Amino acid sequence: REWERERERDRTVRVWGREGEWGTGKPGPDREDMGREERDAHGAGRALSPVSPHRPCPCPVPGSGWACRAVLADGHQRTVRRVAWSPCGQFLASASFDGTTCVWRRHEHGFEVVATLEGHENEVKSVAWAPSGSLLATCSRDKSVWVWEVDEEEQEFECVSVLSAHSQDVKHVVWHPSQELLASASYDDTVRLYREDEDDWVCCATLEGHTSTVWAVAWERSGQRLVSCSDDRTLCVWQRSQGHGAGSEHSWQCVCTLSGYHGRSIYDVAWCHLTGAVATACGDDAVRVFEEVSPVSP
Amino acid sequence: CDCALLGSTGRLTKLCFCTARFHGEGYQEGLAEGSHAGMAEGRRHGALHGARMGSEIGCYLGFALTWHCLLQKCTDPKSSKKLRALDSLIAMIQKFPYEDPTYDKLQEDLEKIRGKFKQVCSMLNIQSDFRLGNERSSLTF
Repeated sequence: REWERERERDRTVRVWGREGEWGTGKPGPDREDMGREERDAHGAGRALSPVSPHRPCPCPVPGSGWACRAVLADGHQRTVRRVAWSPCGQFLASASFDGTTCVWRRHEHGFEVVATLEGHENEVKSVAWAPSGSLLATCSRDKSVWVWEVDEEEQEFECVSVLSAHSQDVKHVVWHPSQELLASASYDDTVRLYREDEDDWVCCATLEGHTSTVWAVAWERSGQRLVSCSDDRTLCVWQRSQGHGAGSEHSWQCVCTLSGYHGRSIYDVAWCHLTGAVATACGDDAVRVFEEVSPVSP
Repeated sequence: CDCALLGSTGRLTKLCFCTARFHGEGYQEGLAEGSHAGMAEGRRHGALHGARMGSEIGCYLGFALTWHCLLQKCTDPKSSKKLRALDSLIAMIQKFPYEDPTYDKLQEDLEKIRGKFKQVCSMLNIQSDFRLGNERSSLTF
């Protein structure tokens, strides 16, 4: 199954599914948890219509085969900046400019809030689930990265660390594909890595090289490399190398800088775990796909 | 002074040397006064910021010790986790080098203490920027 979700300025979270699924075949079954909803006329302005909880979702089908399954309103008071599905698919986390991160649990007839993670002093910019599903990370304009432990049975979330390693707004957090290693990207032009060390989390590496805000980071499937994209219009590929001596920290080197391809800031980057291709989202209205070229043998 | 090169019209030479001397003396006086004022301002600045830092850390310590007392008798796993975090915060504060303003990791350690305090507040479900009721001076740092 493929699901998509959309975050909008109307402060709601929407969940989309392929038509005909979710057992009903109707584009929008009744949802008890739907309070207010907004008619979605893309780009043409919105009309607020207070709605009784049992009215079906009137959202138009946005493209062939997809329908809006749920509108999760009343979770946030400001822009919802990012959403992330848990690895098990049962939970959805939404990070908002209102300073909170909501965790929604999926059940048969919709979604309900199971936790509201508070603590950040201002806008939360990103949220990410660790591949194990037992950790969650959030980051904010307050320059900090928070790591939360998930207790799935109790559906409780406990803060295990507040990391203030960055000197500016933190834009993005993303977990290593297989290890409990966290990466963050910031307005301070650096990427930082964090891991657990004796009951507490520490910043174990700082990747410097970009000359402006780093907007996002993506890990290669193997976890040996990561790519970062920046306001400085370049992509940097970083490689992990074994530290010297037993038990020492890995170090990270920039092994490749892709410059001259992007005309404006690069806002997002994704590294495909199937093909190894790297895709970028750029302010010059283009999407680019990069592939690694094997070095020519002498 | 270039005037000295012009030869021995005594008065002109003396005038040049005078100018140079007063210039030099003026500079020395200014330097002394500036240094003195700078020291005084530096001391005030240091005292103010030192007091603020002490006040902030002192607040965290009092908070942590109090909660430690309150939770001490609890044996359930959740309270144990909270106690461990409180112990960690207390240890960080006690380890902090109050006597050494030249400690190179001063700001870094201070940030770690603040971070640990925020984490503990989150675990205890307390707002980390507590304000004391209607008082004008709120306990924010």
